[in-house]
Amino acid sequence: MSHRIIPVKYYLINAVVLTLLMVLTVVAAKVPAFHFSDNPNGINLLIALVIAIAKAACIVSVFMGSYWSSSLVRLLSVAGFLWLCIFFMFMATDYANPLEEFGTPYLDVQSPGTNPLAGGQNHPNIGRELTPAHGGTYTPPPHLFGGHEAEPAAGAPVAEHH
Amino acid sequence: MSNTATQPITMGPAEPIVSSQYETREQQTETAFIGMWLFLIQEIMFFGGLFVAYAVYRYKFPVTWYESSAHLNYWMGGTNTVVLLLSSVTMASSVYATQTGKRAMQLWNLGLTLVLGTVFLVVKYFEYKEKFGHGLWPGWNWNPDALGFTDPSHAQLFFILYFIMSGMHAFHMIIGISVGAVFWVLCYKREYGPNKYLPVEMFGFYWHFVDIVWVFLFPMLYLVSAPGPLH
Repeated sequence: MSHRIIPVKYYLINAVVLTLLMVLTVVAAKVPAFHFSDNPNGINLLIALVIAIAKAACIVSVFMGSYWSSSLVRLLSVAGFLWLCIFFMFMATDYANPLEEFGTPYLDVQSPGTNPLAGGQNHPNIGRELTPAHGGTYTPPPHLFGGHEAEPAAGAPVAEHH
Repeated sequence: MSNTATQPITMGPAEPIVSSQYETREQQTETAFIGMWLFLIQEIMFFGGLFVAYAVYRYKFPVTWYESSAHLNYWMGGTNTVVLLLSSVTMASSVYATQTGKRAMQLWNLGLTLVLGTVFLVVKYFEYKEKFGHGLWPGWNWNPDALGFTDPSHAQLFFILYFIMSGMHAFHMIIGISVGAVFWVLCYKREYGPNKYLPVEMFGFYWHFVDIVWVFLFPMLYLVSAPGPLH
């Protein structure tokens, strides 16, 4: 039905749930006993985002009333999120893959060791900060690049595609 | 609508108004919902670009993000999260009051929503002021030497994203408060009631959407760093 009137009771319950989720996300991030990982690249942000998605779902379902709406409206209420997922997926194929240091045309315009903003120093892995989780410097598989030897000289092309 | 039988309509039109292009009132309502959601989807696309930029640089520079986020005051961010959450409750209650013809509840809740939105902006102002004082404003105010970043140039990138993302959100809040003030005046003039509540409900959608954006911005900006004392 389109003339839906949602009782205030549901709004108040939703507010309590959202407040608890908000406290949970702060506790998971800021209380050492509940902090999952000390690695900067750990799963903490992922946990926080999962909680954020749950909170967004509560707001859309109850405050915006999608739970009581027609199927078409409910579909639209998740369409934007699905579009965002596709956006992230395609961006990840550009950046979050093993060949990213050779293939990202937008970000890695600097050659190693020539970044003036970083005091002339750049990481050998071209702008990517390595954490212990990454296990050090990445070495590309030789069969892909005809054997990637030592670091290229400053100003030299990063890699030659074959 | 069940309330019309028992009590007189004192707010909004006496009878439901169905515009000529619609067959029924239900169709009119559904169309408004779909139109508003399409508007919100393009808003998601707008913020989506910023979110993806954030994701790429967070992936590239996790250590810098870890360090930079520690300079944001998560107590202020958390307070603002609660303030926005409360404002969403009052906004939704105001829509309920409009639908059921409860005038005092409508005006009080809508007014409270605007007050809470203003409180959010005031807290934001003090946050920005603090960042400016610490030399964390990218560009001519940028003074990272005193803050001990491992990689100051990329830390600047974090704060550029911080100010753009939270700034765009604050801009949406300003628009929301301005439009909401107009709605409050119209409600005061008894423009909206049980027979005409869709505009108020659609404004509520916008308000809730701005709340959702903040729900994501809060962990992404304030909670990336390790547990520890505030700077």
